[in-house]
Amino acid sequence: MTAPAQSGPAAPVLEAVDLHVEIPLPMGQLKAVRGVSLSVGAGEAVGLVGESGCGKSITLRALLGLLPVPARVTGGALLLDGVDVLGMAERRRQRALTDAISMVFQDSLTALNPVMRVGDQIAEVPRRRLGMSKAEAHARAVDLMDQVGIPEPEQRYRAYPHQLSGGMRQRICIAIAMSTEPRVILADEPTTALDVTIQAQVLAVIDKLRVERELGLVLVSHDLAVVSQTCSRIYVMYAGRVVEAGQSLPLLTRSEHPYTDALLRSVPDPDATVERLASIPGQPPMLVDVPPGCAFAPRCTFARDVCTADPNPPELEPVSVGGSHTTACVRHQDIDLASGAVSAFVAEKEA
Amino acid sequence: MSSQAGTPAQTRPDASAGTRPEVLGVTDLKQYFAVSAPWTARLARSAPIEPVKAVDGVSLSLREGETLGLVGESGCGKSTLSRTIMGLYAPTAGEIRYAGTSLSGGPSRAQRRHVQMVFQDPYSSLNPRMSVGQMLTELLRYHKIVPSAETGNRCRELMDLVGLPQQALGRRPRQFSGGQRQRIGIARALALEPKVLIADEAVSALDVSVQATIINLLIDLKTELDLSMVFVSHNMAVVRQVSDRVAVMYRGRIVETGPTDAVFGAPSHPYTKLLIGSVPRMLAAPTQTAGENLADPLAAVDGEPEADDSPYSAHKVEHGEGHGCRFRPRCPVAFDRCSTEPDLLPLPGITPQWAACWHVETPDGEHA
Amino acid sequence: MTTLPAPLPTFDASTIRKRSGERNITLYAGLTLFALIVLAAVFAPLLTSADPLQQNLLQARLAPGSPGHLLGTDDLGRDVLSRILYGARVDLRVGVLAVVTPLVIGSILGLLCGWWGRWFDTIVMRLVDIVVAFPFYVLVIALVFALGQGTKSIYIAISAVGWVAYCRIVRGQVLVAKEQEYALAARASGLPTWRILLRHLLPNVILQAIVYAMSDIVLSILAIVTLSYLGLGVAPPSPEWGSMIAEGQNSLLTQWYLATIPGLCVVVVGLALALIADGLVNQFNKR
Repeated sequence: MTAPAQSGPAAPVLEAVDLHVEIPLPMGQLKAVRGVSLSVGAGEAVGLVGESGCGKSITLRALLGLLPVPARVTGGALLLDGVDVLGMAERRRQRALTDAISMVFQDSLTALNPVMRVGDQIAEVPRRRLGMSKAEAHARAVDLMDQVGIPEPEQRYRAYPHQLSGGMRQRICIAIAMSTEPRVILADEPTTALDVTIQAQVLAVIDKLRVERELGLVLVSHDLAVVSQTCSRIYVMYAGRVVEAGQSLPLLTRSEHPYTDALLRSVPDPDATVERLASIPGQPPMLVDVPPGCAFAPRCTFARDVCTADPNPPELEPVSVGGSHTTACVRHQDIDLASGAVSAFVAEKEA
Repeated sequence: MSSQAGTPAQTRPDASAGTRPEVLGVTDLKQYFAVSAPWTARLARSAPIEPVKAVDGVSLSLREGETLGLVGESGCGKSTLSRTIMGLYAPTAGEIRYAGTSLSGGPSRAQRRHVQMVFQDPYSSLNPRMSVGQMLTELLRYHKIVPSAETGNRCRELMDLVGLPQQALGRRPRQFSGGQRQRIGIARALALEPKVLIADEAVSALDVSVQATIINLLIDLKTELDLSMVFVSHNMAVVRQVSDRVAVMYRGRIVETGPTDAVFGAPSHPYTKLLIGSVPRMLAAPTQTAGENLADPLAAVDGEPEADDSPYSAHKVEHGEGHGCRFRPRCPVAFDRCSTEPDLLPLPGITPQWAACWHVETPDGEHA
Repeated sequence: MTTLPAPLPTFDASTIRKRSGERNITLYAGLTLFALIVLAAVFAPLLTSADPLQQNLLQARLAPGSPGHLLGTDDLGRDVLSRILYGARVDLRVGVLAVVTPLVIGSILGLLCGWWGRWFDTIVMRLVDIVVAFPFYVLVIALVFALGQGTKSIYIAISAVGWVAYCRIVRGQVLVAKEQEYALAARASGLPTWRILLRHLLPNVILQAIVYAMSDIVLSILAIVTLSYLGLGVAPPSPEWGSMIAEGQNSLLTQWYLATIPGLCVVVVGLALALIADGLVNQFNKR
């Protein structure tokens, strides 16, 4: 059973168009994000998956204007309700973005102020920014804690972060994210640091809030299964670009890019064992010297000259005419990934 | 051992599958850490401060050539257990056996070669100031594994074994990627020619595709070098892929153990069921592990031991006599017998499988 | 090990990153500057023919730039330049040596405290607390006074007081480093403790202590300067920057150079050492 299909909204709430982010390093410009386009509408959950270094976390931060200092957006547009915020002055842009978007981070312990009670941290924004009185903000915080499933919120209002377990802390972080009344939530590996038995509940909380309040959700994770459960659309990133995008079910069952396929085959299944897991030889390229053409070509068994002939990286093309499933593999029509030819990825056992 | 004498000892589950000798064993191992509290606090308390019972009576037996998976979540004690077995901590109580010989005091130099470990963090498990070659040579020399003249050759052989080029020997760890560093860590462990390899979350810090490479490498090495392995992980899917037998730990004790397919396919202990059920599956509906039917609904939110002593935590889990099964607050099928902590009880059937749950002996209608 | 299996598919040696090639200018600049100072001190006889002890009352109080006296002469007609150069020998020597001993003692104690802990740690740390409770100069002056004037007393006094900083620094670093997995791995491999401490831990924990030592050299030089100023340091008429400053302070308004130039020399040495310290940190972080 797939994640319930969510009706695509008329216009997306948040949209990145051909976003480029660069980080100046001593050895050159690191092109962390090289033309990423994604969108999320009200009530929609999209997933951003990839391995480390693919640029998914930087993309997420760019959406909120939270890039670490040396990194800069060097191209593309960021549309909030159709208006490009990158053209605005800095303060106006930050105001617009933080009013509409909130973020939940991976490590709840460092995301919270260790010397402030958790309830006060939730109440801070309503009090300072939305102008509520102390009592109103307190009540709002307790209400939010209740909505994220913290039992006896009145009592736990006064707790300090280190006094709560990881699962409760992450719920507090979600409550803080909700306190600004956002329209989009960005979640950067929100459950990776949690135990698996708690993970499911925290994801359920995020999903419940998304449905109740018609929030957009962008979920970044390296865990394909987690993303597949929660998100109706998925973007797969590699080396700073989206290499495949589409609805979860077709993307995961009939993927059209060798990287996605290899990734799916390298993940062990808790319900079955395989003879051998697929592994991808080599490593992702250093994005200081971007290779020409498809960045995955050096590691891809299906690569041919056509993959690197054009120095520009390949664009996303629809798999079938008019469809929403897109892939950046120029050879996707020539390759049959489901046929088992991908077993070439599986390293041969030495005698 | 009667329950009045403290936490009941766990009977040692024998993997009677296969007749190879035991290569590593522990009996009723305990590892308690004293909580450091200021003497003023100690004076003020009427009862002595309980130590942290990281490992609270664990018995295991590893046969030659098999892989035992050790799974559990944070705070279950699996890392403490593996490090105690390695001799990095002195056990509070219990026995550790290498190839049948009981260790008294720490392992001797020769005994150290018997069990080696691959650590979790590729970025801190290698000395940043030593090159790979220096690190391996030091071990080879100190343990006199090969004559001095041969150390160079043996280093090269080790690099081949883990699939790294010869040039790696002259480089420092900083110049390698995470997956490459784990290979170096494996080479380091293998340099001493151990019989047992303990992989303590060895792939948890790696990307998925790199994880697959290292898992394949470990499986290959196990076959080709006839290693026995203890694979510690919180990742159920990886453990299933790698292990012949599996032991599930919860708060310092083993709650279920048996052949991998049997435990995963038909878990008996409620915690194992919860654990396996919580693992997200591709495209499945989000798993519902909500608070209904739990003895303590708050435990659904706060099952982790880390905040046990906090005034805001869900529940206090008491260990030891008189306090009952440690899973009870979270258990959907707890009944009156659960006020006594169960031993590992053998499951009916020919496969050697054990679960520490009274439902094994008294299957009521609730035992789903 | 029986016959080793054929190697598994490997990857390119080129995937192993090369060392990052950026030059460490800070370190080179600091080392060069310090080397120049040391060379000037060592080759003093070649750089000046004047005798630093030679008094010549007829040539007293000459301004810098006077023929034959590049930096002038002091009240007793002694050539300032040669006194600076010969004085550098004393100050540099005492400054560096007075730091080496506390560095070694403090680091060893810090290593043992951090690694072993227990009663040893408690005792040593209480000792540290006692020493730290006194202002540095109070203790040093008291010790030099008790031991008598002279460079040997200065070494002993500064060592006896200075080791505590290194002990604390190294102990703190060791407490962190010993829980790192590479330290656990070294223990698990059965290597003897002394080897783990010296070969595995020490190179990783010593950096902060060395950086501190750089600034400590300047502090030692200042200590000697202060002691000489108080008459407890190097016995006159040996040239030494501190005593030169003391002697020159009376004529600050007229012969400003007598006190200022030695002071500037201390500053330049401090600058060179600071650059070296920064450069070392950069070098370490690159690795």
